[in-house]
Amino acid sequence: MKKAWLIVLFLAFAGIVFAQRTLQVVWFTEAPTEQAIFDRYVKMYEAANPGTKVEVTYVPFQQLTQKLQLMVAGNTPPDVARVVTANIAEFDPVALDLAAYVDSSSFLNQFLPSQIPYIYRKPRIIGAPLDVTANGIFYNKDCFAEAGVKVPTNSLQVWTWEQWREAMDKVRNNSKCRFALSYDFTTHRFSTLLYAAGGRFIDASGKKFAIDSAQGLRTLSFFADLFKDGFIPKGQWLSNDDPSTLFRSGQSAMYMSGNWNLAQFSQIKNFNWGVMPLPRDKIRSTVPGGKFVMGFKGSKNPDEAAKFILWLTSKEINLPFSKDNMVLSARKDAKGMKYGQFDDAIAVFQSDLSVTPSYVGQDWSNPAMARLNTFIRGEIVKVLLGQQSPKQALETIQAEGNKLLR
Amino acid sequence: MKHKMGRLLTPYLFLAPNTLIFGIFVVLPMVYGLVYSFYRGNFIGGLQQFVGIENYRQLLEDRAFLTSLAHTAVYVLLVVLLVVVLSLMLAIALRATTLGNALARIGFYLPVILSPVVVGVAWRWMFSSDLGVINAVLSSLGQSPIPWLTDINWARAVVILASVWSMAGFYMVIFIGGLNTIPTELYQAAEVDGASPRQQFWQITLPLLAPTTLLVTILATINAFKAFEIILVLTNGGPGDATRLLVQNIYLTAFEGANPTYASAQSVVLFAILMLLTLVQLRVSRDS
Repeated sequence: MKKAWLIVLFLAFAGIVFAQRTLQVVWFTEAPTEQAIFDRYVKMYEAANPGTKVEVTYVPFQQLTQKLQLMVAGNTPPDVARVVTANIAEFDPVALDLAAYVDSSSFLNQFLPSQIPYIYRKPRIIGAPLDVTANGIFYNKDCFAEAGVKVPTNSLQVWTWEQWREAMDKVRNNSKCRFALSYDFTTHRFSTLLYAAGGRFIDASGKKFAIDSAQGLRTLSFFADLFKDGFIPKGQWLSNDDPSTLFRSGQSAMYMSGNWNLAQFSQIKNFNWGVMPLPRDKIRSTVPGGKFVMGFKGSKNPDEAAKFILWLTSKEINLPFSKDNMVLSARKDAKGMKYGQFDDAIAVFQSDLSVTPSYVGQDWSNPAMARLNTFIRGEIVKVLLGQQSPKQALETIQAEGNKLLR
Repeated sequence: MKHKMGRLLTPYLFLAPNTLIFGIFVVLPMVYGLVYSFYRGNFIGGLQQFVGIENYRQLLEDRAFLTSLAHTAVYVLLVVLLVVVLSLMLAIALRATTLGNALARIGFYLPVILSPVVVGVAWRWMFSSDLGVINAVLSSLGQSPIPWLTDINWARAVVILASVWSMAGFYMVIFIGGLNTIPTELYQAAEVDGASPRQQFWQITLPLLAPTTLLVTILATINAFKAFEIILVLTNGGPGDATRLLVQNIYLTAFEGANPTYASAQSVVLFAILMLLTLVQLRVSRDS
């Protein structure tokens, strides 16, 4: 009798073990706080879904693409991954189609229109937006105060590029900040200036590159001069020096990056910082981007993956999740959400986003941009090294881009 | 009969696990790499089309590949030359077994046990143009900073020095082993005949060290051709592509360019170069 009970217990236990699904999630992190926050939400999901165990593999952002490429190539894709705009375009052919799980129009209608081109490949839905990103400039308030330079707070009276340059000069010469501007080594951040100059990478038809223009030339020449005149430390674009380190250590007065740094910068104790509206040239603009969650065809648990993605991007979960991570939710109903001490900074990013033309998002949702990213950056570096003129660089990028679009 | 068969099979049984591991982790990926190099494809769609030698033909016109190949040739030549000379000098200087020499040997060997990433980070901390210790010291002395990693020529020099520093200790140990096999009687006899230390070096040490020198040259050449991590961390191949070597170009082609089949063709070329160089070196050594 005792034996029979033991067998029953064993079978029950085995049943529970075998009935449990393991959801494989690849999650990239940029700030040290992100992992603990996501772990908390994973536990919430497991508690709400007792039959599911979520196994998370955390990877640094720099290794994300390679990790996913190898998993997909080895026919062992994860069930769910957190990705950026470039990835969602690259992994489109193997993306899990969420349209099979939702009513497409009501699902898409939950999110900001700027994020839809990234995820909607009519009729397929290849992912769900997690948050919206915007490029922007962080500044060291102490250095600006020391130099007696006032940063515009009214978004209607932002600096022109010339005024911005003057401010750089004053802050560098009259404050403890050794450098005027740190600048992320990416084509994406460079493009902030291109759009402000009224330029764009790809024309309205989406079939031709449009970078070889007067606006492109103005942008690249202005950018190269910032290096030549010592405003941006050369090491950041020529030898991979980390621009964030210079800003966080209080040596750089400004840092061109984006809102995803807020969580990390909340740890800065040695100086006061803020976010300034992006300077304008011809127009005001930032570059919208975002983080997304996507599933993969051929993963072990596609249904559970879709369920997890929908849960994570639902109003009940996504709003507190965004607030915990200090990021801008991609949901329409997040409008007016408060972030406490970062409300001012977030208001600046939101203001820049609100005046950004829609073609900026279209440029970056074109798969050609994901393919050409590194190439464009390389051509810009050649200009900085004096190996070619800005005009030559633009012609080369244009030719390579058109080849790809053909 | 059974006993004889067993005796025949025993060595193969002992070799089997190693052969199996070698086959799975070395030979099989090599074969895959070779096959991939004749196809067009990517990570997502897999192998899509057989293109014969098209990838190899394309390499001949690929500026990025040819530039990285030229950089690699210069890098290998200088690194191997410096490594052989420096490690031989260290071995001769530290050959005698004294406490001071033992400590010095440990000091020179330490970089070998460091991860290449750590070496890259350490050198970056020293030579970074804006954040580096050396430029900070120069500035505090009223000197202008040197663009160590932002000037093409300086960056190449720093990369070569960092590589030599990280390898020299290992080859020093091999040279010390080689020096210890030279009978001391030869030196004693040479001294009696009035040979100067310089003559002893050229007439005794160098000829008798030839097999060791060959071994060091082959190993250093192979290692220099495979250089990747130190450079990735130190300069990431920059400024521009000034320090981008073949292995990094293969990595970039495969992962950033999402073109693993074309990267495989580049790997096959690297393998062929290494094989050829090793055969030539062995042939030269046999002939001499």
